[in-house]
Amino acid sequence: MKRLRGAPRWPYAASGALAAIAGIAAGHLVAALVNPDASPVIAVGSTVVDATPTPVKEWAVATLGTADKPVLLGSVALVTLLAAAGIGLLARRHRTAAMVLLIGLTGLAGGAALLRPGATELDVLPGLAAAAAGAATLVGLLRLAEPTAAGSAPTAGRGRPQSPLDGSAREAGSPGTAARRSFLLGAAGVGAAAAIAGTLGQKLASNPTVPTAAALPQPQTVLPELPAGLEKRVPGISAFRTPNASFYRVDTSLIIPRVDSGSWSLEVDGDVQRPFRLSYAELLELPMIEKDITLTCVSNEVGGGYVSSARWLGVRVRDLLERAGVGAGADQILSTSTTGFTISTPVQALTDDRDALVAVAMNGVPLPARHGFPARLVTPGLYGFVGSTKWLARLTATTYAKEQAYWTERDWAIDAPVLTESRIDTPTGLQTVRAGKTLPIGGVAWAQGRGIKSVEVRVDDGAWMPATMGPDAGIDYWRQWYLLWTPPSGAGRRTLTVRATDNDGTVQTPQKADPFPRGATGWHSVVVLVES
Amino acid sequence: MTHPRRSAFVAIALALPLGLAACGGSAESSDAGMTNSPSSASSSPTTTDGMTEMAAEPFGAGCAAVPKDGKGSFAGMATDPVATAASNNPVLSTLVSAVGEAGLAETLNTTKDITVFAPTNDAFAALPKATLDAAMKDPKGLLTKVLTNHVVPGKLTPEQLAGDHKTLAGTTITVTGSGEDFTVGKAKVVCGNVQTANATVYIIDGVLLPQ
Repeated sequence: MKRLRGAPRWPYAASGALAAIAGIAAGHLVAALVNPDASPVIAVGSTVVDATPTPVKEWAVATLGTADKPVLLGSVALVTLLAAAGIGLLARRHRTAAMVLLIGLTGLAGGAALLRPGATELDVLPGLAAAAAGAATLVGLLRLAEPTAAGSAPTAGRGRPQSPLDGSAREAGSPGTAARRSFLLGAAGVGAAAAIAGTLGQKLASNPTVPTAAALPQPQTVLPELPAGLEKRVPGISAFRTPNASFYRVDTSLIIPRVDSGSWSLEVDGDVQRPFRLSYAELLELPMIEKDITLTCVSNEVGGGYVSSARWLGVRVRDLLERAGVGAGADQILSTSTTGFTISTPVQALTDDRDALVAVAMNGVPLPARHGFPARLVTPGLYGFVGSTKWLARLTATTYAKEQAYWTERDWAIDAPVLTESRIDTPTGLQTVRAGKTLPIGGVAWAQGRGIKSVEVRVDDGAWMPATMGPDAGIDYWRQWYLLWTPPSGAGRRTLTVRATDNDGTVQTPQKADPFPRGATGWHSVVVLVES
Repeated sequence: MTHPRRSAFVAIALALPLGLAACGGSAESSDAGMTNSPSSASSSPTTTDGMTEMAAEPFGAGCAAVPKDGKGSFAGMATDPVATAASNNPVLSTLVSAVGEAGLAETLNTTKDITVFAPTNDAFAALPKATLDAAMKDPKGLLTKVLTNHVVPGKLTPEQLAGDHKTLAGTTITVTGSGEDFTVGKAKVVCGNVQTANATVYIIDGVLLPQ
């Protein structure tokens, strides 16, 4: 039945938009119970991210910075609402077509959820809930909207001559007023219900089962307390142990995976005799060790900050691979994260005595989400990109000939042991120091797998002076160092340079190399200004 | 238009932010959304975690001279430390050679959180030849003093730009202006709020000579 030509459009557009809001909220609530990543806006947002060409992604990060995730999700929501408002308007004349389109729109969310890596059939439920809620809301609101339309021109019928009452007319105390009010009440009610459902969904989703520190297993042998570092003696030096909040973060995830440990599992498969799967509870029951390990990112420039150190608790990867029985022909373990990201590690690095771990805790607490909860690979002595997969989901025994991991496809090295490096933390670049006033030059040095034996510092082209070393926490952990220095008067600036020697007696190379493809090398220098 | 339409929009507007907050909110704070940003030349694992202060985009008429893509573009410079970023920008080549001559490239690259006022090639060309020669002949003295006169600790946002700032040379420079119009001494900011991995850069059209 055709509606009146003069019926106002806004209640239809509003109904469409509110139906979308109701659908999104219902979907979000159901997703909280099923799989938070299947929530309509997030599933569609993640699909958009995956489909985005790399240059656009780079631009977005460079321009938006930390606002990139909210802007993306806000844009998806906005486009959805505009489309839904359009569908509402369509419902003004073509009810059936509009309902079909609305179901299609919400179906997109269900489809996107199913396409996410690791999705199960249950992940379609939020989309279905969104479709049902959206359709019901649209029907209900339209029913409230119709009297509003009818009320503005009480005498309906075609062929009637145009009259001033065709526009927004309202008799004093007429039913039109009441009808419009009930539509607005209905709209407000939908808005409120959606807000409650959405907030409830968000609350439920933000609390995946995270164990407390108390629930972590005890390691087989407890390591002694880490010795106190040089922080008190050398203000400005890096802390011997990096607190979790300051630990560097590098990964390819636009949205930090929120993995529910209750539904997570670790698959060990590929060229193995006995593939198996572990739940989080089962992983926590396996024998664990503690290890102090310094991680370094291959992209760390000389003097850069992409290096941090922590005490890790985890299962030896060697134990897991022995349980599976890795085939003799396998030379690579391809690890896959819950996001589908891959890292390749030489088999020998995961089975030798360096004790690579599937870690569940760092510095005494379960892995924070941004550092890989519930479990990650930590391989001492290799740069993170070839051995420290976060949000670990799968270990596959295979060969380098057969499989190429993410960064390998981008021409980074497959064999990437951490290269010896050292860094001056204090004084900082271009800091002004007083001639004649003694101050400490201090910093850190690392050579995972070999350990640091000594560090030397020189001023301008002077002789190399040995630095005093901080405590030694093993060959896979960095060491602090410092040297007391009295700036001589004379020159307005001095260049301080540092170099380290590892336990094999090899002096760090002065040769400058870029991070690509296997890590940066070169001595770190800092220019300080001297005032007399 | 009228009462009822406005109320409907109000109803939607109220529901909308609540809905968006519900969808977009999470316990993670400022660095949650940081993606691994591959640089445009060769994808690299570096994070852009350091760039937590992105308020606005670069501003100024001079920004048109910045390359549109590659390592010298805004996106490319954002993931490189400041001296490296400048070396990929043809507008700053004289500055880059002065920094190289003074042996300050690595120090500028590895000092965290600074603001650099970067004079363009034209700015250097406008200096009296005698002054420039004297500086280039004394890289560790006068040239260092001139260059450090352009560096201020902390990453200044456009909102923090106006005012007095103590440079790493020990001198004070004064910035006046607001919005997109700023002057430092006798120089104008022609392209401001350019982000690099460790520094915020304001490209200026004059060289700041220390008093």
